[in-house]
Amino acid sequence: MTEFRSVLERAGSNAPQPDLQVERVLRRRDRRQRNQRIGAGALGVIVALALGTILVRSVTSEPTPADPPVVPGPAPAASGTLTYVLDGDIFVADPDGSNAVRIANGLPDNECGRGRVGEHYWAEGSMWSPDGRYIAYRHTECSDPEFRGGVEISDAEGNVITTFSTGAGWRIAWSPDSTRVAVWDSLYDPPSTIGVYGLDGARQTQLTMPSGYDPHGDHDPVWMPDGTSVWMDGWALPVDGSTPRQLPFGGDPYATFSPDGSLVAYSENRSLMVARSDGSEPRAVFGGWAEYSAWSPTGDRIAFSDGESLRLLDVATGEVTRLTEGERGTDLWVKGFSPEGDRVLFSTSESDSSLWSIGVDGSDASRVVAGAWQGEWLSQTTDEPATADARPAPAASGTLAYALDGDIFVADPDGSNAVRIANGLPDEDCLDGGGYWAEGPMWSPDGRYLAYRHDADCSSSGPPGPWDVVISDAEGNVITTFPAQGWGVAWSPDSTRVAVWDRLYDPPVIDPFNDPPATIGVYGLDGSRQTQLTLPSAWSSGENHDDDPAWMPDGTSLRVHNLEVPLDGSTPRQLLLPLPALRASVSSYSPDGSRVAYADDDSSLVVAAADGSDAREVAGRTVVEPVWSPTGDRIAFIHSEKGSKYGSSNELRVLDVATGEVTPLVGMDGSWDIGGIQFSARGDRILISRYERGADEYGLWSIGVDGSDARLVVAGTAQGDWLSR
Amino acid sequence: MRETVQLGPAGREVHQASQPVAFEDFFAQEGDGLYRALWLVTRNRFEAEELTQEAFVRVLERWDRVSEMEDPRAYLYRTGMNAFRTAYGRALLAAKRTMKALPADDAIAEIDERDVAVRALAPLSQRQRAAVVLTDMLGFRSEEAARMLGIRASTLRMHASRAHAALKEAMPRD
Repeated sequence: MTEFRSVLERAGSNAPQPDLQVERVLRRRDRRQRNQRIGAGALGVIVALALGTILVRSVTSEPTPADPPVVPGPAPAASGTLTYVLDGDIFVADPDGSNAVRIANGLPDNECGRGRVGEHYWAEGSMWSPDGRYIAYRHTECSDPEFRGGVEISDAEGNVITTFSTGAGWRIAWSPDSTRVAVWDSLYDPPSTIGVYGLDGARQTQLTMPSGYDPHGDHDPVWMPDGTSVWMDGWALPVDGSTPRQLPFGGDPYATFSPDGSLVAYSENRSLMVARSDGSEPRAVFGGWAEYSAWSPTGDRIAFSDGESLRLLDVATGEVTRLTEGERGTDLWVKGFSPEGDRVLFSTSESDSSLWSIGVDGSDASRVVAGAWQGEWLSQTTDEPATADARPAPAASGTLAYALDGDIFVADPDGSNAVRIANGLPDEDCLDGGGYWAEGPMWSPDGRYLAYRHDADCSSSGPPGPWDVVISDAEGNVITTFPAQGWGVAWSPDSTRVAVWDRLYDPPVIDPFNDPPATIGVYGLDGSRQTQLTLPSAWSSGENHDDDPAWMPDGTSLRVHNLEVPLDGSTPRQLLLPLPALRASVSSYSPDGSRVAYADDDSSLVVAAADGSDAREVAGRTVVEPVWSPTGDRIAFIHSEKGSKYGSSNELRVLDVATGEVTPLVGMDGSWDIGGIQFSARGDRILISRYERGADEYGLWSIGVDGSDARLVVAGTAQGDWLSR
Repeated sequence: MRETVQLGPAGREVHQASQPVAFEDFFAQEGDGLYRALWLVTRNRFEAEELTQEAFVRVLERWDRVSEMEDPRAYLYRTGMNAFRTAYGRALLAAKRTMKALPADDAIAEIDERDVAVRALAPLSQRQRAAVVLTDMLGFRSEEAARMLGIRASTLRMHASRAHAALKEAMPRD
């Protein structure tokens, strides 16, 4: 006890000299008493005004038009829908090949490279994303002497979602959650690297094959069933960048996993083997050559080719049935099962290759598409109807989410019709069951999800946790939860990932030379960590305040103070912006990501190109916290008398970017703190957090961008978020 | 008006207000100590100052009753820790961060640099620091300290125990 006491006393003796004056305490007490009296009087006036307003509005007001709904992602195609490649084009058709629609129009193989300008589309392996929303294929630029090309991801109608360049590989591997694809970035030039790309085309991470890896054949990466690793030639490479591990079934590059991920089928020593997905408990199920195996949707059968004939294995009994055989010298390739598991799609290498289907009892073989070699039925493995959207429906634009007294609420834009979606304890009651809270934006950009924090045991106060990150839908159904440090939760622009501090102060910075480096985790909607980014060891959180990571507008990297940290694991870059603009919390990018607005050292409002060039002052001094409108034509900011929010009066102002005209918003001026500025989706209103110092009260307020109609939205909280992106 | 002083459980002075003291005297007597305790807990002089003032304002509002208490100092610390607990509650902290109303204390880095004892406290959570400051430095019993922090005594002991382990590790052996 004495030992600790002396340590603490010694530490306490180092405290900076305080500025404590009893006169200030007395003044503060007097001011509080005065405010309490004024507040009691004002309450009566507010109640009377509110009742009057409600009465007048109920008689005179026009109904407010609803905000346009948020556009959801593409709807999934119907189960069984066929997609195939034919003559450089991509088609979508009914399961039997009828009603074909060309969704990508390219040059046929024999015309590509003969001076023709255009693209040739092609595919190998699976094209459908597991959820049936997307189709992935490749294109080759016919006029390019080296036939370079890339990957295209479209919806079933051919609307291209994204495209990105890669010169290596053939197949495109969809992640089990349909949010990413894995392809070779570089294969034959060591080190061989695999890129994991999101639906926005941004490379989320790059995986490097172990040193000494020698590609033995033209094989492509495959996802492990749990989506945490990519499998290649016997190596499982975790997408979070941790150490690759070797798998026992490395010999067969076309090993396939059962629909539930528990089993793997592969060829070894001229036998078809089935093992647990980790390679344990292998057993030979067919003593002969077997390739291109495919699991039935129910996982009880495997279709495979022994070269010239098509066979079906009953996994439980080991019984093998021959379904059909090609003519001598004709190879057969299994493409997959129908969603019902009653038919098998396969292709032949006849002189004019074709897609065929056949019943699992060997009956009713029929040609589906003449001339096509690559095709696939959409065979979803879930029981959900194909037309159902597995993701939660997006909330209406403008919907308000806010945290209050340990709970999370969702309400109409004006705060009405509030529904509590998470029920926690307020701070003061937080003993062993915790409260919910949030900081910064809560809504995912697509409006389907909310992210907030939960202090599970209330056992640690103050930053930085760890506290649970909770991701739920707008009704409070929890999608996932995982622990993390830091404060806010940063949504990726495509709403498929969040970024949070994995390690910031663990332990806190004591010795900048020996502390473990700070790390940022990028987590998917299933709660798994997709990538962990390590900041340079010289980066010190202590020197760099406590900003949370923020996504760069293109979604390819994160920004932490003066660092841009690429998600693909490449070296972080020092941002060239001036110091004030480096605080993610006090600068703002334009909606198209091309410009940044920030308050400079003199508290002047500056607009510059995103890289910091072409900086120009657009408003005079005393500016803090500029925020771009979603329409890009306005910037809202706080005007503060001293260019600082402490002990000065603040005013909300709006700059017209085109004209430079600044409009003070009357009603949002006074001796209170304001912050948390955000625009409505249409850019016509602004939501702010306001703290009234005298009354010690927080509130969410909204006001028109022309300064009209200021109104209290929610009292008692500063944490709110309009779905406005 | 005179006040008597006696030693508390850990040999600390405890004010025995046999007769009510003036608030100004009480402030002069206790202000610095409360500020230092809160500074150790928050590691931010501005926050510590703010919490100290807030605690005294709350005490002043009830001074007619507090001054009659057997141990007004304990009430002051309980109020101060309650202010800390409220101010560092997650929701309010988030609100303050939204308002950018948490002035950074750059002095702490310099003090960290020169003083091993202050540096040793840095890795502890605020509640761990509060636990050892209240029990080890100020001599409050764990039950009493737990009430001040709004946690269970067993939880407080756990925090103190972890803090002791971390301090032992961090402090150089003579």
